Amino acid sequence: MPTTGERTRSKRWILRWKGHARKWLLQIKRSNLQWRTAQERGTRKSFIHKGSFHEAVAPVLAVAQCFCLMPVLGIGGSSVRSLHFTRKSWRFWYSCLYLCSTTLDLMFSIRKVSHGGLDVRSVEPIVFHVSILIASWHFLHLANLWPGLMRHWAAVEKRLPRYGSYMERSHPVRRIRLVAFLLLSLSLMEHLLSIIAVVYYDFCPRRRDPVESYLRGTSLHLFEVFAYSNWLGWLGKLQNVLLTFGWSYMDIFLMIIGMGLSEMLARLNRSLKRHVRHPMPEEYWTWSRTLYRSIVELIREVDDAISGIMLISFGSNLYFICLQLLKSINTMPSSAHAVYFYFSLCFLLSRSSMVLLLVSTINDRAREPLQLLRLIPSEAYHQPEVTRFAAELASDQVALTGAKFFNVTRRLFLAMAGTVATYELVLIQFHEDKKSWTCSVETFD
Amino acid sequence: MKFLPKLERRLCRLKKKMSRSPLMRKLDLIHESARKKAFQDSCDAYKTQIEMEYVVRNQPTKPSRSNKEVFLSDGSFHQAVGRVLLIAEFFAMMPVKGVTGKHPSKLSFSWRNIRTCFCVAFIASSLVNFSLSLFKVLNNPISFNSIKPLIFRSSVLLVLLVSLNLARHWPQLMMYWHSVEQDLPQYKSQAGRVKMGHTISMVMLVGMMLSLAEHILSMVSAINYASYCNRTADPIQNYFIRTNDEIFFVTSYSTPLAIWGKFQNVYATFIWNYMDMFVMIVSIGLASKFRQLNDDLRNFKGMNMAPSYWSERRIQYRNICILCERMDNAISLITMVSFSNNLYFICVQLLRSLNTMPSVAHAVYFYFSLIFLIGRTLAVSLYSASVHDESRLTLRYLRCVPKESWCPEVKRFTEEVISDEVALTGLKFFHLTRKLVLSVAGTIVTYELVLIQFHEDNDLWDCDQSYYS
Repeated sequence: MPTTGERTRSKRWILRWKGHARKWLLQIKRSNLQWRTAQERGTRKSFIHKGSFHEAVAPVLAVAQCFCLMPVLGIGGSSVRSLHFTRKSWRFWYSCLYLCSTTLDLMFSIRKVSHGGLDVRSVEPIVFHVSILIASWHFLHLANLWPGLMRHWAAVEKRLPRYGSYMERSHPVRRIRLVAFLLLSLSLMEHLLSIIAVVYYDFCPRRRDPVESYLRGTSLHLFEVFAYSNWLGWLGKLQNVLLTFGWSYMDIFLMIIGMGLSEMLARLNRSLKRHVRHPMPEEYWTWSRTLYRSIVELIREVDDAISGIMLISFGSNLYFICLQLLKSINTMPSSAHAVYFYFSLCFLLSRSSMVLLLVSTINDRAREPLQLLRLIPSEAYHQPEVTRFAAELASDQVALTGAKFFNVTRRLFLAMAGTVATYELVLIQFHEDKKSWTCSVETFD
Repeated sequence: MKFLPKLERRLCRLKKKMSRSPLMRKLDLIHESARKKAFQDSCDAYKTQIEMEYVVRNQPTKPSRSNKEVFLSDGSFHQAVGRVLLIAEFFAMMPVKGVTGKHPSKLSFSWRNIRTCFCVAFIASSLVNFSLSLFKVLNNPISFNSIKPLIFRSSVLLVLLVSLNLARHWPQLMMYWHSVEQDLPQYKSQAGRVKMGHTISMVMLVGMMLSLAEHILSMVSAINYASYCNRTADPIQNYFIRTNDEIFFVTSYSTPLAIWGKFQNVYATFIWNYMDMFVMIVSIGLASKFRQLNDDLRNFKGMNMAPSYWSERRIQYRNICILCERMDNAISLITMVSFSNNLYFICVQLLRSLNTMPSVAHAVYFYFSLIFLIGRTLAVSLYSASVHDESRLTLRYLRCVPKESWCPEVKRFTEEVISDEVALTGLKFFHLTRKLVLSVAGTIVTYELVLIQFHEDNDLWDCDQSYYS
């Protein structure tokens, strides 16, 4: 006979398990319901764009999550309230794993580089790995800030003047998605071309297995330490793909943020443009000034969150442009190589200039209201609110920055071009035509 | 008739009393009683004090236990910087008395103080050392590389002189600093108050540890080198001949001279590191004062505040700006020396990184010192730029002032913040802002690219070569 104490203990145990089971059942039910609603035929309502940035950026973030960046939960939700970040999600651990494996990969490539001589060209893998490692660390940190940031963003968006028509509303969303997917497909194409170039021109005479020789070529730094094995080769390839994606994604993400912020300013400017020529009451000016101020506050907050990524992206673009331009002097061994090389050079140049131009649009749009305020008729101009707005506009420099070291404006474009030209001219003097496709000893044991 | 004048006086008083009104008389009485009472009280207080002293004196002397008050910091710069200056005094810089006192009024400078004498003596000895190395450099072919000891020693000498001059003004500066601090909005919590002192001591600790590690590594590599170059049988003598080659270029070897040279070397290395730390610490202090003001403004961001609040904040901001300018006038030469030194040494070290390293000890020392140098330069520039950043942050809060509380005082404050350039400077030639970091990096790369063209790999295993090259 069990004593009373034992009986109560077992009862309690059963009760606890019942509670767990009930919770579990509820969870299953909820997920079932979600699945069912997802399977429903979409009505017109589900296809109409709300015009919010959160909605526009969702697929881009989803793609990033496939490649271990930005582990935020609830990006697909209809409102920003569904966004949250937790350490207990598998996405977070997935990106942590990615960080660790990148660090390991970095160690191996440092080992490889330090065995050869140090040179502008030979540190390329180190620069590549380090910049991506720091950027992914920043993305992980950003994921933590993202829900709060998006909530702030949505609060500001709600105060903006409404869109006139459906077309106008869907335009920014479509634009953001177009740019993101165009660039993603271009970077995919670049990667495929690089594979083709290597496979097509595999001139090394003693090749055994085409797959093996390719995999060995992509992760040479690993097979200097370990003996060749197929699974390690595929792991190295996977890491390589993830890194290449992460490198392009930095720029894509910055472009999207730039477009989102400049769109907000553009909406305010459209409203101002409609009203400046007529004498408006003071309330209108108070409204527009506070709205402008809150957009600027949002820009500052976003800048605090992403300025590290900005610095990394601009720095690595500068380095890689210099490097690729230097390499363009080399003779190309085959037409596949030439196609790949020029494609990737053009892609790099256009991508970096696009980042700069799209991000500097924020600065341009933020300056525009000042020009519009000049059009106010004189009988309406002399109000304290208008003069205050004008004074604030004249003295503020609104732009995203690279870790506060430089402001991203259109002027930076020329400065960067000048820097590239200067370094290029100096580097050319030390340049020797180095054949990068010799069958080096380590390629075949 | 001795009692006559007394009687007369009493009579006089009585007459006066009688002539007054009854109300006055009453008041007089009250006054009198109050006076008596006060006198009694002060007598009692004095008695108790004497008794207390007696009791205290008769107590067996215990080691005084420090209470909580001793450890609580009031968040003043004077307290935070006390230990830093104490270390500097040990290394013959900043001979000010009373740096660890609670209140800045205890600070004093005098020429007859032992610290000042030590400092002056050390300046004289480094002058001798400087002229010795000048002699050696002039007797050899001059190049970008060979003037390195000269620049090192001359900058150390310059910093010593500037710091001696700074020590004379330090008490007034700290008093002014104290008066500005008293006026600022105070932190409610101890954590906010302690933060600056904590940062300062961490910076000092990490910097000192790293420079100590660097010095030890340099000794290891020099010993390694000396054992290779066996000039004499004695390894210690070998080592001293290598490290103090500017002394033994002139005279023959003697142990006291060698020890003097080593002492000079250690002190010079410390002072060379200390000037960067000092710029960092002063800028941390200034930036934290701006932050204290900004924290208060942030707490009231977007609220309707009275014009008096704004005028108070504006005056506080102005006071910090004046403080910043006074500090800048005092230390701008040190800043200039520190920045130009760092620029030169980074260029030299980067150029030397192209050489082949003769041994592992050399390679470890070399890369460690290069990374330390770059890290220190970056830290100095970022910390000193933070003064400018913090001073600009005020504008962000002023922009959010609501329409109702917008008044001429806020407008004036805003215009002042916009038009002022508040930052530490290098002898007013350049402002230390974050943009400077990029331009310095650009300058280094440009010079490096030019210098590389003239570079030849010189063999470091050449025993006739200078230790410093």
